[in-house]
Amino acid sequence: MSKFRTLFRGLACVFMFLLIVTVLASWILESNRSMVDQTFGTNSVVFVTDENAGALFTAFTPDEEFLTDGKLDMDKNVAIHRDLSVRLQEEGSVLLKNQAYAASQPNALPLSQKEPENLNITIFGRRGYINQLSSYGGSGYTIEQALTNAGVNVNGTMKSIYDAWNKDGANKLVQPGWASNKTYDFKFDVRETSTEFMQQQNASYRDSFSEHSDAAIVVLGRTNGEGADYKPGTAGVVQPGDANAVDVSTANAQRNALALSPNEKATIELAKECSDRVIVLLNTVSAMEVQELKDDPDIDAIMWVGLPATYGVDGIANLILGKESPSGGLYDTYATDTAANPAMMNFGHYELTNGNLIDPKRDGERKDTSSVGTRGTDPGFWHYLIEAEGIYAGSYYYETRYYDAVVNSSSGAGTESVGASYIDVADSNSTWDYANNVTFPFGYGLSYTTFSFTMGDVTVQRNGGHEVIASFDVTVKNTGSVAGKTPVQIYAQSPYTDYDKRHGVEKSAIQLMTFEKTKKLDPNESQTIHFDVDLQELASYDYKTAKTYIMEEGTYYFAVGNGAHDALNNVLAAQGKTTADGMDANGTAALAKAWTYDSAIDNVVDDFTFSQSKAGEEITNQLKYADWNDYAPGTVTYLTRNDWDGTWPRTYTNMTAPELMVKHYNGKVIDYGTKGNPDSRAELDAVLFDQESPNGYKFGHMVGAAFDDYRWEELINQISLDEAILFAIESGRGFAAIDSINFPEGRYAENGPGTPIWYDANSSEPQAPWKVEEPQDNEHNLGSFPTFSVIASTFSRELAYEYGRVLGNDSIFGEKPILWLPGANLHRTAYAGRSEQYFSENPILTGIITMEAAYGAWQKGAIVTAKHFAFNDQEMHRSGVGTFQTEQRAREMELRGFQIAFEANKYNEPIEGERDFSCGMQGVMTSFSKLGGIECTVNEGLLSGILRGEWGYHGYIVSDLKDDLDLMPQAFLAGLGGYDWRTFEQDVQPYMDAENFKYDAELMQAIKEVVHEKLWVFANSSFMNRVNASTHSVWNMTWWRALYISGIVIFSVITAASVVMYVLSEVFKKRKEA
Amino acid sequence: MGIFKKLSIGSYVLALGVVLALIAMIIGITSSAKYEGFWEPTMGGVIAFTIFGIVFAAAAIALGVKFGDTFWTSAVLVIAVLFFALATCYMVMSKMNVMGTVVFSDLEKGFEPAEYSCYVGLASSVIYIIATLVTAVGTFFRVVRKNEGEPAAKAA
Repeated sequence: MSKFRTLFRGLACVFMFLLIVTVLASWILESNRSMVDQTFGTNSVVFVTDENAGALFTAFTPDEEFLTDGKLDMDKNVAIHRDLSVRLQEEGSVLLKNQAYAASQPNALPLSQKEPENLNITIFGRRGYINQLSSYGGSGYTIEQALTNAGVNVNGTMKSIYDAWNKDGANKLVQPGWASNKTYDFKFDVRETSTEFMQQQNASYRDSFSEHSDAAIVVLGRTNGEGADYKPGTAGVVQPGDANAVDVSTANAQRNALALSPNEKATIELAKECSDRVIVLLNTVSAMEVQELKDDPDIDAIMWVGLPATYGVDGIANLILGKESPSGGLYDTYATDTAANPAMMNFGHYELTNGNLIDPKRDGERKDTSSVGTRGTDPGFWHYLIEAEGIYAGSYYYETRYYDAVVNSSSGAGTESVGASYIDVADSNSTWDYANNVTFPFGYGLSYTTFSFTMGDVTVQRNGGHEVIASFDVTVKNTGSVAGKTPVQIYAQSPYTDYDKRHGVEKSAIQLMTFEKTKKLDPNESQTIHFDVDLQELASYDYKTAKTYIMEEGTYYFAVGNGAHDALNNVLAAQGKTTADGMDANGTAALAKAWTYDSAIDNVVDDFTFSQSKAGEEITNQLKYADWNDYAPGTVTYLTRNDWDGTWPRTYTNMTAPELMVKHYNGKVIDYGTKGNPDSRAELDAVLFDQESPNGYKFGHMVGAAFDDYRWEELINQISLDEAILFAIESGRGFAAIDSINFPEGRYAENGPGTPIWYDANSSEPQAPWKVEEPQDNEHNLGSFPTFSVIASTFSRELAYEYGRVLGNDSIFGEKPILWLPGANLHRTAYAGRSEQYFSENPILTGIITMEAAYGAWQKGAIVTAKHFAFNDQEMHRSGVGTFQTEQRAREMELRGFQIAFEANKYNEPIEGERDFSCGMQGVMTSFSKLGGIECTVNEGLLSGILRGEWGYHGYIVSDLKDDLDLMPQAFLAGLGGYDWRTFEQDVQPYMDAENFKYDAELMQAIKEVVHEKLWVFANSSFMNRVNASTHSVWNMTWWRALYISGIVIFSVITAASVVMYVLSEVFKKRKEA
Repeated sequence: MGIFKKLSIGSYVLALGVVLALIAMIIGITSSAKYEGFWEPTMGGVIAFTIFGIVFAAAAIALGVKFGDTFWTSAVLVIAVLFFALATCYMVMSKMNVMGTVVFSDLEKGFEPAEYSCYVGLASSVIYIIATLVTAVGTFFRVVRKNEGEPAAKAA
């Protein structure tokens, strides 16, 4: 026995180590169960439901079109996704230029004079041969493939060259990158194919042109993505001599990342060599500088196609071949100089001079727990952004300045913009000229046919004290020779009065109010559309004096137009202005109707009518400390149209945070009771947990319950504080079970146009009646929808609704009731790198499309969670940057878009058979940034005052990732309702300790309210399909659990036995020696 | 030199384990310290347990030389293995956050500092596992040659 001492010792050590590793593995697996289940396709917690306790799978059922014999038919599902993608692309692509390509020839588009199989074309530009899933490639089809599949003969010589270029890793498309480069010195390289490379690949490539000259299609574009911005000016783009630069030239130097690169220009020239018929497709969301393309007489057509993703390219092919007529309107203003606007005066990297006072890792006080913030990717701990342009961004800026130039030509519009070093304006001392500044205006789009519009008279009706509706009809007639649709965009102008000038109320000269889209009209066919316009959208926010929304007496105009500029020209025409006054084109006075507003109260300024929200709440200032001037009065001068030159924003660098701002930046915003300073015992005991339910309520009883159902209180009082905390917090890829009320755990999904729903092949029993036996998602490519800006550019409520409804069906099949989309932030500048995830520069367009998509998804019980609330205006320092602005800007720009989606009852009359959406959208994700000096996650004014208060929002509010986890108690008090944290992130655990919450009664009550909001959302979602009163979660033995449990047992036994044997061997050895 | 004559294969295997643990610790520290934001609090445990493991491994050899391969030598050896095992666990735990953002999601995929921290840290974890296993395997062998340092067997 003693001979085996070392053997037993060795066995004990080895198996002890294996035991320890197994215990570690078990802890990792159990604490990240959701991710493990997703990775391995297991169910570690299963629903157990007694089917006799209530009907299942009846709350929300998928649409019949997805099913065959009651089962999910993946072929049909793919066909539905594909068909919708194609239609979104067909209606969302925007034709910007279309001229005869030669004398006596038709317009360049469509290519319908020949059958596709007789068309021989050449596609130029690497993006014509790249998969279009995201802005820098992915799985999906190419534009070339789409045209080839349509029967067109595409130049194979050039395809080979571009394929070779695209395959070379050195030419890989890159994101903008500035935000992720801590030296802030990133230089963007377009990496378009060079003619030198073409020559190397095939010296006689030009010989192929003659046989493929029916058209030359040039695909140009820009990449986009999260975590990156474009750096403005020449400093942001590769220059000759830069190491590893691909797309540079000593001639035709590129002046900024959004201007055409040398290789792109060379590509254009090649296209002209190839064919008389040159068509440019803009494959981008970042608004590029394309004035030279517009002015070039040899470029015959320009069409913006956004990011078509998997199947949208077929829609592009259909448009090119004339199978459909374009009907999109541009989602953003395309500026001549992307940096020559007031928003660009403050964009990018600005550090507080006293940032040393703001330490995100101060021991025990504040730690920045955002996953990306702590890594140095884009931390904004001591950064700021002063949005001194006010409301003057996008069309609100360009069209207003244009209007002032016409109406007050002597001084109205001031001189050409001056300012930051990267602004490149030809002549900074001349009078501001619209033509120097705008290439294509917001909302603009052409068609293969023509339309005439007739606008009826406007009648205005007051409904009670706080609602004013303007009504009128617009008749649209197809006056061309091709069938087509067109958006009908309704704009309005409110007067810019002396009151506004004295009290700092800014007004855009023209503002989108609403829109509809015609059906497909045959030639000579007409359609009349009725509009009811809620004038709440036209009211201005007077944050200085009235501290609410106001309408002034005066003359207002409602207009129809092909975009903001056309509508404004119609207003100007109605005001008697012509090109003689400086207009760039004469408008149509008949398409603008005047209306005179008489105040409801006997004041010139009506601060009553719109001072109450739809939810019946008083509207007053809520966003204290959003404005730098709230901390230090008079510091920031905001741009006013009353003095364009004098108030042109300066770039606010080297700002020093006042003491209160430092305190806010350090997360000291809301006081609450702690262990050392608790609330009274009586107050704490008044917040009930762990109570019995006299009526035995369980979550399954609450299917479809209203928010104010009396049973919620008794239900929620059953839960423990620990259960409430975990449920309130966990809002990432899954949500926790609440055993005390039989609330089973579940999963969310992140989804957007670029991400297919994940189908859960292994959900618990009983399974849905439409569930297929074998998972087929690996064999079927659902694909991704065209990007958000394409959806917005359709100007189609119906398509947005349909998009939401398809997502809702996906949500049912995937058993994931919550979708993290859409992005509803605005495009403040063209340089923000995440634009492809947001719709537009315009809040009305954004809000209506968001609302319609949410409405469609809601019909199928899916909770759409718009993000990011609010003001994710740049990726640079997004994790914490303070975005300073006036409350007028905040409310009338980005918040207005969200407001429309949350106050959906304005837009939806109940439709028979449809689910009432008067509750509005039910989910929102906050932004990483601060609003002013206060994190959005702990901003009481934003979350409780405006969102839950004024807008009457019910639903849940979740942070982005683990943003501001350390401020959790304050966040709950402010109105936040959860954290989108993922697995493997153990740093969350300390914040979930009940010790952080149990000393403040208001805080514990806030947590219960969060639980109420979230439970209500789930009770009215497709989650209820598999829930009745008996449903609860049970622990399930998975293979990985069996593995680690058996490992622990076996290793424990062997270790113990080895130890025992070793001890015995030592005893025998001693006896032997004795 | 005399000491080395007393040492048996077990000591040399232990020494190899110690060296590997040191290498793992250095690599682990590098993975966490090279870029800002990747130092987890558990790294303190990694360093502490590694040092304790080294100390106890050295103590086991010293005890063996002095007193022979006794029960107490074995006990110290086992504790050394335990410390290395704990260091391994803490190293893995230190990389769990960054594994979540690099491997199990795309939050920081492509971000070089995060990928460096993750993959170099995982390499350190693997070396820790090897070090611990080597140390454990070393316990199968005698620390010192037979009868070295042990009380002489009583004459029959």
